[in-house]
Amino acid sequence: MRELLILGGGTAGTMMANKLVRALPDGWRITVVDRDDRHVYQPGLLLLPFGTYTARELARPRGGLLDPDVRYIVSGIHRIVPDERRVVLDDDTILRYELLILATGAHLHPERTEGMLGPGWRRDVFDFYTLEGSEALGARLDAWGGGRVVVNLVDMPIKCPVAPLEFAFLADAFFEERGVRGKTEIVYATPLDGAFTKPVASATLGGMLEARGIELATEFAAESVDGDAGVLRSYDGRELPFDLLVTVPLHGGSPAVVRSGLGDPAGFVPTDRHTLLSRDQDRIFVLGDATDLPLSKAGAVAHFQGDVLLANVLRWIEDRPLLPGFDGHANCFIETGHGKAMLIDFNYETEPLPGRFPLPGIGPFTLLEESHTNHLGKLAFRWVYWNVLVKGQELPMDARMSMAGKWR
Amino acid sequence: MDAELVARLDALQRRLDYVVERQRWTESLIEEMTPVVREALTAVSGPLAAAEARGWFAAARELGGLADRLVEAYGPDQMHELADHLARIFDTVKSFTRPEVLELAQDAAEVLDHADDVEPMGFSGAIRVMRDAEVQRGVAVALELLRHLGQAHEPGPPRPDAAPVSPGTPPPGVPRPVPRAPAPASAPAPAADEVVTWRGHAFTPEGFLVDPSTWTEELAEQVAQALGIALTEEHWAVLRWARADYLDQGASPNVRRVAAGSQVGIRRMYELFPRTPGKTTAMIAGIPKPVGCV
Ligand SMILES: Cc1cc2nc3c(=O)[nH]c(=O)nc-3n(C[C@H](O)[C@H](O)[C@H](O)COP(=O)(O)OP(=O)(O)OC[C@H]3O[C@@H](n4cnc5c(N)ncnc54)[C@H](O)[C@@H]3O)c2cc1C
Repeated sequence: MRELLILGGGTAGTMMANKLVRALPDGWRITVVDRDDRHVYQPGLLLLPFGTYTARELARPRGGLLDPDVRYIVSGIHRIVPDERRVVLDDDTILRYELLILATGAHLHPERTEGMLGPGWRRDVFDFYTLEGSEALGARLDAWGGGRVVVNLVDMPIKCPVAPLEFAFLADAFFEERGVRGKTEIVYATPLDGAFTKPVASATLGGMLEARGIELATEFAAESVDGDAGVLRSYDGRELPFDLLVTVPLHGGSPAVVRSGLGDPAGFVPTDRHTLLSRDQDRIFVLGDATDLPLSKAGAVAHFQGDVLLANVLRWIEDRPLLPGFDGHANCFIETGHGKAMLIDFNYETEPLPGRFPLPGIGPFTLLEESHTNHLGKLAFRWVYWNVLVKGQELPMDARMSMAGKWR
Repeated sequence: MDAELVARLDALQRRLDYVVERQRWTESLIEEMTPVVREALTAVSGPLAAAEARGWFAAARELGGLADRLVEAYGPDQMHELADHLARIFDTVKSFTRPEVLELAQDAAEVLDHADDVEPMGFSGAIRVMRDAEVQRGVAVALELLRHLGQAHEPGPPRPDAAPVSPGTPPPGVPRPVPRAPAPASAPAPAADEVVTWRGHAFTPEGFLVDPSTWTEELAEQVAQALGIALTEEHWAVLRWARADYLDQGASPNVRRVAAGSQVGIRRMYELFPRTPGKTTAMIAGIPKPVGCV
C-alpha cells in the first residue's frame, strides 16, 4: 500500500480526503489524523452568540464526514520527520508516508497576549473563535444591560479576517433590537490603518462603522489585557477601557508544525503560492489555513485550493510537472446586521470590487454592497459546507476568479 | 474480543454512520444540479460580461422605467413579503431591455414568486427560525433560478442606439492605473499621478518606495533621517531581515513578524521605530507598505 497521509481533519483535510479517495489510482491508501472527533462549522461561531444557532448544530463527528474508505485516526500529532518520511503521534505511534498533506490549520494563542487569560477571561474577556468561547459569550450578551464593548483583533493574520468587523456590525444590530444600543458604546480596535486591508473594501467598511456609530481605533497593536481594571493596552501606550472585551487572539501555525521546524516565525508553512507544494519539502503539500500564503484564512480559499491540489497530487504521483494553477481566489460573505450581508470576491492581484456575483450584471449576490440575498447566501453556506464543501463535491463555481461583472 | 474484530466492527459502524449521513443530507440534489448550474454559469457569464462591456446595461439604466412596470405586477403586500432580495434583483433586472432578457426576468420572477412565504427577517427573531428546511429550500430556489438564467439566449449584436459606454471605463481624462509586471499582491500599483519624487526616487504619497529594487543603503539613511531616526546596527539588523523577508515572500512582513524574525521583540520595535514600527521599517527598508492580508 502506498500511503497518502493527511494531517488535520478540519475543513481542508476532510475535503481533500474525500476528493482524493475518488481520484487516486489503486494501491493508495488515505489516512487522516486529527486530535479529536468533533468537526466544528467555524463560520457559525460568529452567529452563535446572537442566538442564530445552538452549539449542537455547529458540531459533527469527523468520522461521519469522511468517506468510509478513508482511514481515520484520532490522536494528537506530535512531530513530522520529513527526512525519514514519518510522523510521530502523541502516543509515539509512527505513521510512514509517501506523500503528506499538511492541513493542520491555524492555532489560537490567547496566552501570547499578556493578561488575556487572566482574571477576566470568559467573564468579561471572550473570544468567539472557539465553540466554548462563542457559547460563553452568547450567555454574556444575553444578560447585557449596557456598557462599553471593545472588539479587537490582536494581529493579522487571522481566520476569516472580516469576522471581527462582522461581529461589531451584528452586535450593533443585536443591541438595537434588545433596546440597549443607547446605553452601549462599541469600539472597534484594529492593528490595521483602516477598517480592512484592501483599499476599496476598507473605505466602504469604514463608512459602515461610522454610520452605525461604532468608534474606530486604528493602528492599535494590543499588548496586554487587564481583566480586573477592564483595560486593553497597546504597545504605543494607548488604553481602551471596556466592560466587555471581544477579542480575536493571536494566530499561529499548529504546534506540531512548529515542533517539526517546518514553520515560519509564526508557525505557518512556507508554501509555493501557485502549486501548493511546500517550499522546503518535495513530498509535502500544504492546504488551507496552515500555509503562509498572503491570503484569507478561509474555508472558501481551501475550497478553491482543493481543485488545484487535486490535480497536482495526481501529477505528483505520475511524476509529471505540477500546475501553477492557484490564483489566490477567495470570497466571503460579510454579515452586516439586520438580516443583511455583503459579499466580497478577490485574488492575489485584484482587490474586492463592487459588482454582481456570480453572474455578471445579475447576481443574485451583490459585491461590496449590503443585501438580504447575501445574508440568505451566508445562511445557506452552512448547508453547502456540510454537504458539498467538506464532502469534496464540486461547487458550481470555477476555481479561477472572473473579472466579469466587477466594476473598477 | 480480538483486536481485529473490534477494528472491523468499528469500520462497519462508520460505514453505517456514513450511510445514514448521506440519506439525511440530500446530496443527490446537489449532485444532479451541479453540472446544470455549472453549465448555466459558463453559458451565461461570457455573454453577459460582453453585454456589460458594450454598455447595454449602462444604456438601459438610462432608459429606466422597466422596473416600475415589473414592480406594478406585484401588490405592495406581496412586494413587502418578497423582501429586499427581490427588489435587489429587480433593481438589476431593470437594466435589461432585450426581449430574451425580459423573458428571463419573467422566469426569475416566477421562480422567486414561489418563495414568497419567506418572511422578511428581523435579525434576532427570524433567522432563529431559519432552520435547515428553509435553508435547503433557499438553495433549491437559487439553483432553480440559475437554471432559468442558463436558458437565456446568447445576446445578439449590440443595439444601434445603445450608448457604447461601459461602466468599467473611466471617463476621459482620468488616467488608468499603470499596468505592471507580476508583483507582490500586497503592493497596490499607484496610479501614475500618485507618485511623489524625492531624492531622485519615486515614492507613494504615503512614503513607500515604488520600486524596491532601486533601494540603496544610502537612501535608507536619508529616509530614516527624514523620519527623525538615527540608524544603529540594531536598526540595520531589523531592516535587513525585513528586506530579505520581503524578497523571499513577495510580501512585506508586519511588525510582529519582523520582531519575531529579527529577534528584537515587539516592545523594542516600538523604541527603535516609534509609533508605527511596521510601516516605518518598510519605508526605510524600501519595501511596500505591509498589509495584513485579507
Ligand atoms: C469565527 C469564524 C468565522 C469564519 N467564517 C468563515 C466564512 O464565513 N467563510 C469562510 O470561508 N471561512 C470562514 N472561517 C474560516 C474557516 O473556518 C477556516 O479557514 C477553515 O476551517 C480552514 O480549514 P483548515 O482545514 O485549514 O483548518 P481547520 O478547519 O481549523 O482544521 C485544522 C485541523 O487540524 C487539527 N490539528 C492541528 N494541529 C494538530 C495536532 N498537533 N494534532 C492533531 N490535530 C491537529 C485541528 O484539530 C483541526 O481539526 C471562519 C472561521 C472562524 C473562526
